[in-house]
Amino acid sequence: MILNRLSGLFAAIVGIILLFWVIPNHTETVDYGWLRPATLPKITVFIIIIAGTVHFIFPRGTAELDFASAGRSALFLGIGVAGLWLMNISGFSIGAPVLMLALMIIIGERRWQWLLSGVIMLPAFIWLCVDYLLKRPLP
Amino acid sequence: MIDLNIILAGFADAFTLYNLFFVWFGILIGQLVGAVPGVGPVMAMAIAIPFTFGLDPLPAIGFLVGVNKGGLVGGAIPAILINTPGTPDAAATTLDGYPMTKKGQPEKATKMALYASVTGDAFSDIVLITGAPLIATVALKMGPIEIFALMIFAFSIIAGLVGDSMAKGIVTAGLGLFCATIGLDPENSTPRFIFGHFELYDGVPLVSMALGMLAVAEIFRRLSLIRGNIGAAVIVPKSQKKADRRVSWTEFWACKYTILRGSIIGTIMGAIPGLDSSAAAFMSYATAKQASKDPDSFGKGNIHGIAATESANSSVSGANLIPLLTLGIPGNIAAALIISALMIHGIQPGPLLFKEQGQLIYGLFCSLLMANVLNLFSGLVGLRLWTKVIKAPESIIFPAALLLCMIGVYLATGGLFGVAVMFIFALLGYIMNALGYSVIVFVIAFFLGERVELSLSQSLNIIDGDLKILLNHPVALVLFALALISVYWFGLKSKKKITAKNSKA
Repeated sequence: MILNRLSGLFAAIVGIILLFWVIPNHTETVDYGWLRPATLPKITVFIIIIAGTVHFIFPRGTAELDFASAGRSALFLGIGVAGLWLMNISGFSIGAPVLMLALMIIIGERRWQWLLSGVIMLPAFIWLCVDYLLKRPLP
Repeated sequence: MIDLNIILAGFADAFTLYNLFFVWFGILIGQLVGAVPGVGPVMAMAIAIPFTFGLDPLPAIGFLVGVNKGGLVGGAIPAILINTPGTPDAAATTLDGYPMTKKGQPEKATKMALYASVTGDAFSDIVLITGAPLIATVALKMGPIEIFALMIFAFSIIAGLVGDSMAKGIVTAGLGLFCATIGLDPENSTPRFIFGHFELYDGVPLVSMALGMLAVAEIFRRLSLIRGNIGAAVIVPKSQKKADRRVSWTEFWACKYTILRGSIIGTIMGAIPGLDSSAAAFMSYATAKQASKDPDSFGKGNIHGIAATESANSSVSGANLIPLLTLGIPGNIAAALIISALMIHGIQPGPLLFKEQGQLIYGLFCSLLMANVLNLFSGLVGLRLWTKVIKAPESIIFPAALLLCMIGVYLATGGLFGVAVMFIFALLGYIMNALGYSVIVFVIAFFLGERVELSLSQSLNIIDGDLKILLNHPVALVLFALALISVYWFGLKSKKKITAKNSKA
């Protein structure tokens, strides 16, 4: 319940940061026209601040954050980002198999036939379809 | 008045093995690419257009139409089986499709998606064939003020999807709308919130947002749950009854009003240029939920939820051809690709098309109807294949889905920046899911946001401070009134019902 309530406070704080820092610094000032660049963003941010505050005061619904699962999800997100970085510097042909191998090993897959399918055959199939058949460049 | 001879000649042109083959081939490609997250039929059509140069106009257009229609069915498959929509259009199908899979009914869910999709598609094709010129004339009366009113009406329907906390739903809708304002503003074309990344000039890529929030966040959640025993991605009980594998006629017929409602919503949205099928699917879902005697079962594996979304998103495709063929205005990207293919083949879409190329157009109509039948039969075979694939271990299904999402987004956005954006939205989607904020409301608000701002900007310029001008737009006034009614109907009344039910319990 506390987490649920705090999520409203967090939303309101995000709204305030957007209103006083992000919107003024990342929109251009225009003094003509009916709908200026900051008009709609400001309206949406006011909505977020008001609704977030209401939720903080009168919380409804539930919020369940399992920190163990969230930690593991963060690990997989990190692996995904690392795979993206690897593809960026060394290309798809190295990045994709390494990404698949890391994910499958961490999950606990040890059967060689499935590892072979995921690490070699799937990236090769994608390369065949995209690069060879469709002539579209891969990273 | 078109001569009956021309109609029959057109149908005869279309009904050849040669033409049938290209339509069918297009459907197979469409179903395949639709089922691969991030790739989608639009990209397949764009790639395929140069290959149609050597074909006659009818098989060429029939092939492209086949890819588009096949993609609509294909997109629902991963949405239902692994909670990962193949195309953004299928996002709403995850709501009840995946819970049915979790209940051990993946085949039933995918079959219902196929039947509803083909029915909705056939409905809009029949409307196209019988009433295209009339509908196009009405649709063109929808100016910026009417479009803005329609957008407000669509937003009001979100009230039915916010779940158990209205405040959380409003925060989420506000956040989705805010994210939609990233990029150039529509009135002055000045960049907003791009943080030095010129890739964001066109806004946050839709495919990055949709796949990140809906697919990748779910993939990370599923990966985090695998500990020790590695099972199949989808577990179907061996003792499963036949009734859990198929959709009986009684079940299909019970969804007739849901499918009809979805088809009408999709056809109306499709006939208006610029509105997309995702909005139609969510509107149809919200109305089906509200009309249901058991709205609480929606989101927990109600077959009506799948029927509502799939009939609506598929009926948009036929209706998109209404402004295209009658007025030469493409309703969405797929229609724009078809218009370009028509022009490459020397055909100028527009008011004179029916007069000058009547035989070709009726041939195209016949191809559309053939495509629906072929889509149904190819889909039935394809679904068996996909439901077998999905029984592979989750240790390969989910990493493979992640890699396919990355490559799909890379191809769709033309660079790895789009993939990075996808990961950011995956993180946001994961946090929102955990804290009980509706990801679906965010996605709808994002989908509608750009169009809302554009139509609001145009409307304000038309009105120019004189609100009396609104009296000259009765359709807009009716839509504003409907928006107010739907906020009461979908939001406040539903909440009262839930509160009353809870207090009784």
